[in-house]
Amino acid sequence: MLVHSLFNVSAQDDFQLSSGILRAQGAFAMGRLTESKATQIYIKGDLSYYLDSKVSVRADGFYFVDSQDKTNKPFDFSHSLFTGMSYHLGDGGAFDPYVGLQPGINFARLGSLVTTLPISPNVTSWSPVLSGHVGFNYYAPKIFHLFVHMQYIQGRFVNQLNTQSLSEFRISFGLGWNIDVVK
Amino acid sequence: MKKLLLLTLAIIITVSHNSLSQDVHESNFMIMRCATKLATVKTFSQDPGMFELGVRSTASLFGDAGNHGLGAGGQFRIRFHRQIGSEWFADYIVTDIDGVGKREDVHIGWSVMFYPFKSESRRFSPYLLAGHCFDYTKVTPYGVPALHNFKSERWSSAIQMGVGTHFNLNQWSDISLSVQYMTHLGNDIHTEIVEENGLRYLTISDHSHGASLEGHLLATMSFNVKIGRLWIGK
Repeated sequence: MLVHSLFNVSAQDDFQLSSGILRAQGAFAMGRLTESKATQIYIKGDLSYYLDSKVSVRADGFYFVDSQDKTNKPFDFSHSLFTGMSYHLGDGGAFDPYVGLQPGINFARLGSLVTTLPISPNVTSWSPVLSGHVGFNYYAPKIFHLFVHMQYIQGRFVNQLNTQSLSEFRISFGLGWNIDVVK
Repeated sequence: MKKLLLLTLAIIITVSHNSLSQDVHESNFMIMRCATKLATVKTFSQDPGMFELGVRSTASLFGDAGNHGLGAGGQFRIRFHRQIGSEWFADYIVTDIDGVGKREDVHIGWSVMFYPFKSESRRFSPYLLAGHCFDYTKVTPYGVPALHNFKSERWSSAIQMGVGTHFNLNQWSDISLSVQYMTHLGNDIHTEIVEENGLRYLTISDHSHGASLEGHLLATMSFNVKIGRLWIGK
């Protein structure tokens, strides 16, 4: 009801996903590391381009802001970048559920709590990661949409001081923007 | 992991006969959006000259130390013939050696892909692949301060061969899954985990004199987009 009233549902029947749609959004994202149970906060941005109504290529970037609990902070920072694809399950209408896969890379530094050193070691490491995602977009007639995006990341931070799982569940939602770049 | 490997092989073997009926139409599309406008019927191009870009994730399995690694990278493909293509790739793979060391591999190489089936109208397109790569390997033990850290690294050459399949999502994109065995032709960095007085640590021996055939199994998942044809030909 809320979504329908916000987005003027009478006009949405006109919306049709097609190739050439470029969508982007920026939002805060919350992440939960599965091994250390730490909750992390990110600023997230993503960009998608629809090859047709079923397939889009996309890139996602996460900038680490902080951990929610200062006593459970595995990383001083943990930024990541993903590129891959989404497969769209809907019929090309305004409601656009999708699933997808993205290889990626993570750049992180261990927090002092997970080493035997009294201060955070200035040791960073790049770690390959793989992620799967699921979510949906809900398109308004013109240039914006609501989105909910959930992502599971698999990987491991490894350096000469310690090893730490990067496996994490992340969620973000908000308002995104879209244009047809070739219309 | 063995189950996953067997499942992968089973999928590759069984999907070769799985086809969807599609209208076959020769389209000479270039850039993604142009392709959308021009090609109105579905066919999965095997046109010579086709150039593709992709990203990939690679799992390194059953290597020297028996540990599993995960990698990320990119690739491009150039199709030479309807049944022969090539893949040019770069991967960065990190492996945690039982919590006592770190192994990093960088692979930069190419593979020739042979497609035994003409599969323009099929969703699945299986292939055999064989090729060569240059690789850089570095092994670092944990638990010692960085300044005094002992590590071993080497550049070497490798050959690889395996099987794979594309799953065509639409005319312009596919997901590919391949399994290949890579054999290093250069020096071997041999690692061994030693346990003394309840402490475990890594020892490294660099067999720099004499070639070895150290190898590992690589399972790669990639996502690729057709960009356009570099040349027009039959």
